Amino acid sequence: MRSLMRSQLRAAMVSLGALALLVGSLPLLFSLPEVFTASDLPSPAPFVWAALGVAVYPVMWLIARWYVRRAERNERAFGKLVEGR
Amino acid sequence: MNQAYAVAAVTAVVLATVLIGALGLRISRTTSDFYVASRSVKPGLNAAAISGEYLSAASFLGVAGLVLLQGPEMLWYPVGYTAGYLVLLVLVAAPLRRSGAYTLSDFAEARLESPQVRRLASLFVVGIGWLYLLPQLQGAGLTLEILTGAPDWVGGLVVALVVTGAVAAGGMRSITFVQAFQYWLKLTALLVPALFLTVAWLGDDAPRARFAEPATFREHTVVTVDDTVRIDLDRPLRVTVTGTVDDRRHDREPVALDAGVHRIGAGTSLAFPAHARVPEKAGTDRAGASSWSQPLASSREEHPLYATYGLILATFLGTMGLPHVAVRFYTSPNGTAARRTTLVVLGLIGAFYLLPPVYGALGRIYAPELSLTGEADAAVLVLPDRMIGGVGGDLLGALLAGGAFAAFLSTASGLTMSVAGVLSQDVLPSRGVRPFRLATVLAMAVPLGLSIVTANVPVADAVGLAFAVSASSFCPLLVLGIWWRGLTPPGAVAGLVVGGGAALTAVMATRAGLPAGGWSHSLLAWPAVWSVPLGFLTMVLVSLATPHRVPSTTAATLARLHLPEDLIARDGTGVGGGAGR
Repeated sequence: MRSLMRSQLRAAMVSLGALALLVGSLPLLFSLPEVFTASDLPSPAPFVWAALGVAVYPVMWLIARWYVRRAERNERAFGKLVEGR
Repeated sequence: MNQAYAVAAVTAVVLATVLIGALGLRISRTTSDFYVASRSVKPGLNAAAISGEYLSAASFLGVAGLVLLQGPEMLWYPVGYTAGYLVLLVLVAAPLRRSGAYTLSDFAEARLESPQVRRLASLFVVGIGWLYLLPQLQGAGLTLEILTGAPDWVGGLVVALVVTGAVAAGGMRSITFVQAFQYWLKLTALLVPALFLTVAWLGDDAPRARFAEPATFREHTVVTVDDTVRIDLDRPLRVTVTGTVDDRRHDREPVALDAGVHRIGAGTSLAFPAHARVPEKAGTDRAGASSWSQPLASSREEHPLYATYGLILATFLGTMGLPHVAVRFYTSPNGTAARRTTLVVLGLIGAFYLLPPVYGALGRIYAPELSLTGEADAAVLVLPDRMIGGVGGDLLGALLAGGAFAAFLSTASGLTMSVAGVLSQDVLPSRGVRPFRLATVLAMAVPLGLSIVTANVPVADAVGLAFAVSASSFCPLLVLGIWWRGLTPPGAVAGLVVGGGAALTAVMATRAGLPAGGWSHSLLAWPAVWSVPLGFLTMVLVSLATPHRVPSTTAATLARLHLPEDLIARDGTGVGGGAGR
């Protein structure tokens, strides 16, 4: 039982980590003016619109899909473990 | 805008809601049907219902209004609303379903075996529910006022009556059909006009919304101010005035206003020449022109990075504790279905949120004066008339009005449903269908009364408040309850009171205008950054201090939360703690 909880918690933490890394870091990125002055972009605005308006949604969905598959696999593996006792 | 079309669209939405609700009434027979639709709702239907319920007025109108006012940094609101579902999915979705409880209070009692925790949780469910219902009713009032000129309490009353009727009559099963229908209605109502508006925008040589400077009027524009406002001009301005400016009456006279603050009386019309800058409202301390391009939360904040993270934490973690969101998971047949349903929900609301920013950006170009009249929430509604006009514009406007009303109705019914569920179980003396109907009336009467006596706050702002309280109270309770064996009833009580109470106090203090500015203002206006850790910490520390109060049933309860249903069916609850690797 503890092993199932541990593996499910690990899957959850990986997903949350991916969310924090890919989405949660954006405000920090936006607040660094160097990122934009160094590039050719005239202003950060188009990048911000693209990132927050469109790009984050498929990223979040993919994280969610990975988690759902992983969680179901954990449960199946645990079911086999219990049956094999 | 043509009132007849709009009224017809709103009436059609209301009628459809009542009809589908009545359809549900014929198959809704038992108490279980009432509360959780007998737990037999399929993922596709359930996901559309969840999305329909979740996409409130704040999403349909509020996001576009905020983008119009403050630029792309406001896109964090829809991102946060969506990410909240991802966090909910990975941390609580399946266990919440497997806990087998009807409401968040049931979960608290099942996990902690304590009627005391249950009562406190019920208090928070009702409180958060009412906090969230309030802006729905006010938004409905604003919408109907703009569309038809009716007094602003009428819209709220219409929503309250329809929702009370539908929920009291059919309970959860009929509401499920109503909300699934309303998701598709809302998506259509936003998508079709957006396509036409984009075509009109392209036909207009695709002017860019300028983010780095103040908005300007594209053509000669007459703006009528409903409430007295103070405007701050950074350069002299010539306008034609009918009404009072700086306490002097004018009647269609050209007036030269100097740079500085001017007071525009209620009911005054200002005629701006083409290409004039839209004046900034004084007193809101909005930072200068450059703030529009800063992708951080509210530009009026002095610590924007902190405010953004406050918003992110509140929305990411607050979603799981919203009463109308949580109650939906009990309607899935099992934990696996609950997870898959959430995945579909993420896709549906993600698709929806691609649209409001389009309206916000177009509103900045074509309807900039909304920021002056304080009706930015109406940007979505006025754009078709402004950009397309004629019968086409009227029809599209009517479609949007219908969609907006669907938004008020669906979110309000979900909230009423969950608040009424808790009231009928924990407050009223007896259970069953009749007390539930009584509780429905009670659940709606209080926020309706409040919405009439309190002043308007921006829809998305008021919703943010509910998220902050939810993130600081129910998020720790759910996460620790599901993943930590050491949680005790005293710990849960302390965490709920300290975390939720701190967030509530902080936001109320900001509303009352207590700290005028600086760090203390930012800290109180965006409490989630410190109140969520505070809630978690209190819950953990008090639980550790009272180890003898860990419920004896903890191991069995956790097994039930995490084991797939088919294993339990085969094995009883007996896959005890020892089955490790």
